[in-house]
Amino acid sequence: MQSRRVMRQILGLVLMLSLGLLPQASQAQSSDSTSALAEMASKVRTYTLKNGLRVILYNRGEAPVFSGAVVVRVGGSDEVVGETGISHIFEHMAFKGSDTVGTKDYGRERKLLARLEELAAESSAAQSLSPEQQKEWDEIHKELRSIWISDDFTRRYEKQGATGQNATTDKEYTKYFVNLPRSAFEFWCEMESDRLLNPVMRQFYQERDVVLEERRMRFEDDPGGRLYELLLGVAYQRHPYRAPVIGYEHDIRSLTATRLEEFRKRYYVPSNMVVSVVGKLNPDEDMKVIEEYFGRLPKGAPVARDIDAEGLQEGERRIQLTMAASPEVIVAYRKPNYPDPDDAPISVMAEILAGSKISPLYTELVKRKQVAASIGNDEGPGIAYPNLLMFSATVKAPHTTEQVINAFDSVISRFRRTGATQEQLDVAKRSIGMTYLAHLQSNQSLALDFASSELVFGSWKASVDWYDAMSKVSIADIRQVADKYLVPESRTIATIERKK
Amino acid sequence: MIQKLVQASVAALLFSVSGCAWLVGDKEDPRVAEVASFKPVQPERWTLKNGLTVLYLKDDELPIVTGKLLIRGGSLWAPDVPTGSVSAMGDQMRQGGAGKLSADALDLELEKLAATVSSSMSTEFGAVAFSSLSSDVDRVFPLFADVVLRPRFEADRLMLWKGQSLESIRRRKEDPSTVVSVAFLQLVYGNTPYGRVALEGDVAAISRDRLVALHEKFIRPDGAILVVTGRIDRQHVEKLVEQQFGSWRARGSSLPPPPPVNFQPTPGVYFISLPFSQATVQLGQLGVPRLTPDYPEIDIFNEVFGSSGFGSRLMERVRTELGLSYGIYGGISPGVVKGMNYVFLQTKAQSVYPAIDEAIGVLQGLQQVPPTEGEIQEKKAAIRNSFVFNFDTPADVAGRQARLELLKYPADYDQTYLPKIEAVSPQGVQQVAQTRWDPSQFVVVVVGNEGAYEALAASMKEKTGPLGLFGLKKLGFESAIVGH
Repeated sequence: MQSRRVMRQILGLVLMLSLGLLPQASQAQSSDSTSALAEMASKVRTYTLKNGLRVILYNRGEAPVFSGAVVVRVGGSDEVVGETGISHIFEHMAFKGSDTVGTKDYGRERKLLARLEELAAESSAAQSLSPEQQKEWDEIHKELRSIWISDDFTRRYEKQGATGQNATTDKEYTKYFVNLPRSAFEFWCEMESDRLLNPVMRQFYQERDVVLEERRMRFEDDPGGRLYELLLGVAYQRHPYRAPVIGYEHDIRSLTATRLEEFRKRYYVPSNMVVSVVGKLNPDEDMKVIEEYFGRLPKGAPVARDIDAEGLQEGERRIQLTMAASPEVIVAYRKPNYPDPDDAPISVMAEILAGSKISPLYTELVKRKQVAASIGNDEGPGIAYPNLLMFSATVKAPHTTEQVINAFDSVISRFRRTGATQEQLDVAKRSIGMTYLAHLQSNQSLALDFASSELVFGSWKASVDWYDAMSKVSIADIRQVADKYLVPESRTIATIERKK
Repeated sequence: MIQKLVQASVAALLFSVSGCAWLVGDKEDPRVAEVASFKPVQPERWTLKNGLTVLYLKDDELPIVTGKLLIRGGSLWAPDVPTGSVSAMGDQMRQGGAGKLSADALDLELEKLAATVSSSMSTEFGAVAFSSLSSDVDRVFPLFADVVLRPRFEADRLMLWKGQSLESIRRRKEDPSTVVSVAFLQLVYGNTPYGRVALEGDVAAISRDRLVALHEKFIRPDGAILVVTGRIDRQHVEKLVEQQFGSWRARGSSLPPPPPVNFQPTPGVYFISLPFSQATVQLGQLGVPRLTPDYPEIDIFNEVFGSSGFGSRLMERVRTELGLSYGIYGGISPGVVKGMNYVFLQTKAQSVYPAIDEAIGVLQGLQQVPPTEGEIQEKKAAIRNSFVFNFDTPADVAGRQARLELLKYPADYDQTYLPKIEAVSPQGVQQVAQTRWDPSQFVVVVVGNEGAYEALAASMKEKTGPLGLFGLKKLGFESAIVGH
């Protein structure tokens, strides 16, 4: 859900393969990486089904296992106030099964579910049921409980040996993923296409309560979560990045199963999805199975998006959260997103400034002045629209947020005056590469990265271009982006101050 | 997002999914045969004169090498030092500089090489790990060895660690899951080495001399295991290991058995009042050591009860059917001497009583009626079919073998595991529920706001459910911790 650093995750694949291009690597290393890159590129296969669904397959590894991902290009940035959180709650509902999974008698269930929706329509989404309606509501549920097979969908997966099954929703994607033994390949195609083709919005009103619990945990009781929600609401005034992916409480309470069904028909269409599989594969044979199952999905209308662009920021913004919690600071600078040529230099700059224990921000704030216990940096909240470069710090008692901001500003001013050294630049580039070399040993990460890249940038290879740009970043580029973006007028500072 | 699976809290389960045969599905699918015929490559092993065992497995996919040294030992064997000392020693091996390099110089050198070295010590074992590009391994491996053998424990870095630790202790109260787990640990294990929680005074009392002494005590080759995988030849590994660790002095003795748990928890409901909108609950009791004779039954019990996400009864009942919780899980987590049996859940303040009641009800259901044969078969299939993921990568294969050896699992553990799982009966699982759990002995910790307290107190007064047995006691977070 928190899709910070998504850009880098997407781009990781190529980073790991091109490490050899970096200055300190040996000749042998360089040739290793180049051949590994060539081998990977030759093995990644892409297909487009007749219904417009794009498929990416990558055969790798020795163990007979694979990671399967279905990624849909829909998330918080597609939502409007009044219906925030709908993408996320739909993600939960996609685990409830279909007309054949999760039910003992779909014919009867369908009629009961339809009646629930009539009652919901008459009672503000079942929030103001009259006593008679409540009685009927409870009776219907009693009967439904005898028809439902709870968690049938996930139990079937478990039985097949699934691990790591989960889903996430962020600003622009909803991702469904799982690891399975190869013996369950056809099973996976059948189950995933079935939930796209014949989903049933059963147990919706219980799940709405579950999501409200999730919201309490992630936002209401988590100072960091609340601060982040506030920050986005201030940094963005018009663009939908301002609203939380999990949704506002009022909006979650107002959703109905009927509304979710309309949402699905608009966004869950083949042209708005990518299927991606990484692991031990036989692409030619496996593609036939994918076509047999996913080819069943109707084409649907292409998704049209009409999203208000965020205007220019004219002046620093500050937001303060006063609560019974220790002080925190986030400083967020507006920045363009990929494919803007400034995107890669900004990422490298962030790595130089705060990415390691030798970085100037860590050295000054954590080691020398000791005003912060830790610092971090991130880009987000999404990748499809202009986004933010964020620096965060946990304030170390007895220091104040103001002291942290002052120390931060002095590092940034000095950096803007002096720029980066060649050594800092080289170390940062290598570090970005090595981080993802480790990260992307996972089939699941690769599958998700391919699909995400394809959906927003039109090609899984978008990452190659980003990597090329990243590896060519110069000291002059760093100076230029520091001058242009690390400016107070286009930043938002969010702080937690302890309630006295 | 959709499901929070049990990960961190059930470390022992990490070792319990294993076996040697594969499920063959019911269809004529060549993919089934591929899985059935898969035989993971086994790591090569050799032992140095000083007792250090090396497990090596080549993996050519990427131009990197990773390694990890596992050492048995930890705070369980250091009962007389300030709490947190052993973990500080583990952290400072890497963070405090090593060999010829100061802490700053070591940070810089590793960053330049895009390599990592990390170190840590816990209650029962320690780990020092590295990762490196294959081309740089001759430069990184000696730094790794310096961190193991020649840490400098620089005073400045210890001061920095202390400041950061004090800040994290100050912030403990702000995360309900931390509050509940700290309080539960203390109420179940008391002031034994298993229950200790570092306080401000402990951190202040940790000295550099202490770290040096603990390093001398624990970091020894006897029984240690070094795992190396990646794009590197065996001869190359042999040479590096001999050069760097060949003269590491053996002690010729092993650690004594871990200390007993000399503590009898007092059952009850303990309420810690903090202004969170959700109530966070951990309940349970002292548990079992690893590898009791009924460990296969325990593994199946865990799957049925609460450790398998949506496939478990806790999740199905409390989350899916009742919508009372987003995060709920539980099970038997075997430990060194006595592990813990527990349930964790979060729910809105008003529903704290029904959520606890339902969770205990799920357990009592299993005590009264054995699970169905079908349910057991499902869980067996899940264990069998997911078994391959223990051997997904060479690093998984070698790392798993090292952990099993370090914790003294029998050599035939993997070979006998699946047959033992196959032999588990519904009655065996019911017996686990009956003999390993006793709700009358439960410690129930609830962290929540005043509304949660009132709702809980009112329901406990009028209802006769499992919680009716207990008194309700309000604690401050500090008073839940022994030593305050």
